[in-house]
Amino acid sequence: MMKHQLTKANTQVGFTLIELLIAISILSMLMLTASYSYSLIANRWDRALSSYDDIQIEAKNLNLLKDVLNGIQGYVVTDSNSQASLFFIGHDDSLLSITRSGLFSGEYGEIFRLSIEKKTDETYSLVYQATSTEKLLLTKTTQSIDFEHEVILLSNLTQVDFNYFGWQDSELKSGPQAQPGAWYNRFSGIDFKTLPTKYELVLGKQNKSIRLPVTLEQRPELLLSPYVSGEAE
Amino acid sequence: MKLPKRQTGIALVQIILITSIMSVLALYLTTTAREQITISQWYSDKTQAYVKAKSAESLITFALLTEPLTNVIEQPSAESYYVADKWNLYSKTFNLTPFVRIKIQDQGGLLHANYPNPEFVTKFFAAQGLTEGQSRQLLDTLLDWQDIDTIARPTSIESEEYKNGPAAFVSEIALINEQYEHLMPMIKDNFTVHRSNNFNPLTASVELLSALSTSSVAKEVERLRNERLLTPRLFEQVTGIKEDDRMYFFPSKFFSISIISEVNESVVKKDIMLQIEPTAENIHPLDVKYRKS
Repeated sequence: MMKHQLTKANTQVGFTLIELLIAISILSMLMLTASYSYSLIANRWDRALSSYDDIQIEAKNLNLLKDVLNGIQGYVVTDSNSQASLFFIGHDDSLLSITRSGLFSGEYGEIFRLSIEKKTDETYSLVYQATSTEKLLLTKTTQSIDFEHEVILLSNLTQVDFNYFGWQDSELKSGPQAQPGAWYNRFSGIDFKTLPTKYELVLGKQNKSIRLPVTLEQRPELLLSPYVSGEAE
Repeated sequence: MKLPKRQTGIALVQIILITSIMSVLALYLTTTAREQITISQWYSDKTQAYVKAKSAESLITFALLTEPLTNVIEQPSAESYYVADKWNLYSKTFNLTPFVRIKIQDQGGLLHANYPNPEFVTKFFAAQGLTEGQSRQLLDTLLDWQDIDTIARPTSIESEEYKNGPAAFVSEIALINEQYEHLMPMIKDNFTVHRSNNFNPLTASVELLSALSTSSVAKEVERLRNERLLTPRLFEQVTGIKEDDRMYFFPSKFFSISIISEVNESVVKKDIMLQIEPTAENIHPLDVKYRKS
């Protein structure tokens, strides 16, 4: 009896057609479900990753921007009449100056311009243009500056506002004519012969805003004295 | 006795396939999660390093404003703020905390690039290997490059291409003459554009002290100040250099501070230039000339 059963079992090899069809159908359904689920999860994961990467890049660029803004220092330029002034031209939507913490110049100073670019969807990009003082000696207000580098630091912004606190005349800062300083949305070191003592950049994005306050040197007008009294001689 | 039915079918293949798919998915998720955790850790470390650097800046600034600077090269008194146990004003790195290293340089201990003292500067250039004539020429060019007149000095020329105003950065000196480019590292370490009063050799570098005296004297000065034994009187005895109207044995009001804060692999480096006026009236006691990160 046992011999008969063993012989019968040995003859049962392979699958029947029905078995194969059923197995393949089940497998196909499983594969379909699995791949669909996988693609759903992968898409969601990719979106999360992309958002994470965007936030990471934004945070990095925001830090770079803070360094650039904090690195601004007084830098004297002269006009065609040899009148000395300070290289700082600030508007509510742009800033042109020189920083020690440039993105491209290492230990050299960097001439930079921050400006905004309006997009078709009514958002703004904050554009940083720069050139190093390693090869360019800036001395004149009339000198043309070719920016070697340009990068978009932040994009999809809904608000970009520069505000400057200071005096339009350095003699009003202290002494008998002293007056309290005021906030301006335009500040020219070329016209006012001084720098703002502080300024701020307000950036807005999706109903949120961030304020970057910056304090500058308090008496930059002293840099002009060699040009007035000839002390540099 | 019945033998069990032989296990046949496609279940094993299904299991293997499904397991493979699940494994790939799990591997992908794990790798990405691990990458994100690493990046997040970097940011966390970076933030900690930044905060520690900021705290160090506050501590040093407070110490500079409140500590008697006469003590900084001598033994601190019992009342001294604890930073004074550690610091020096001649660019020797010290650990403020296990995470933060600091270098402070009194700008009085550097040569003034805008208003150079001819004797000190030519001695310094000569110590770098220039002849007396070359040293004099470089000094004259440095002066003509910055002055606003059009009269050239004996060994120099005037040019409209010159700055014709005080250099705003020491690095600008590199634009004067490419011939002396090899001196720039030494010039950057020993010159400043920030100083209102006179030269203070007590906080000068060993290279500069060697140029002004001899290398053995400079090393002795270095030893004494490292051991916090150097006083103005002892300096005078060791070097033979006396206080006069060109130099005071006292720190200036300008200090460059270099802060390196390290947390794991994240490093934050800050360079700050301060002017302090702790006792002046109607003037801000602290003026940050620049911050560089």
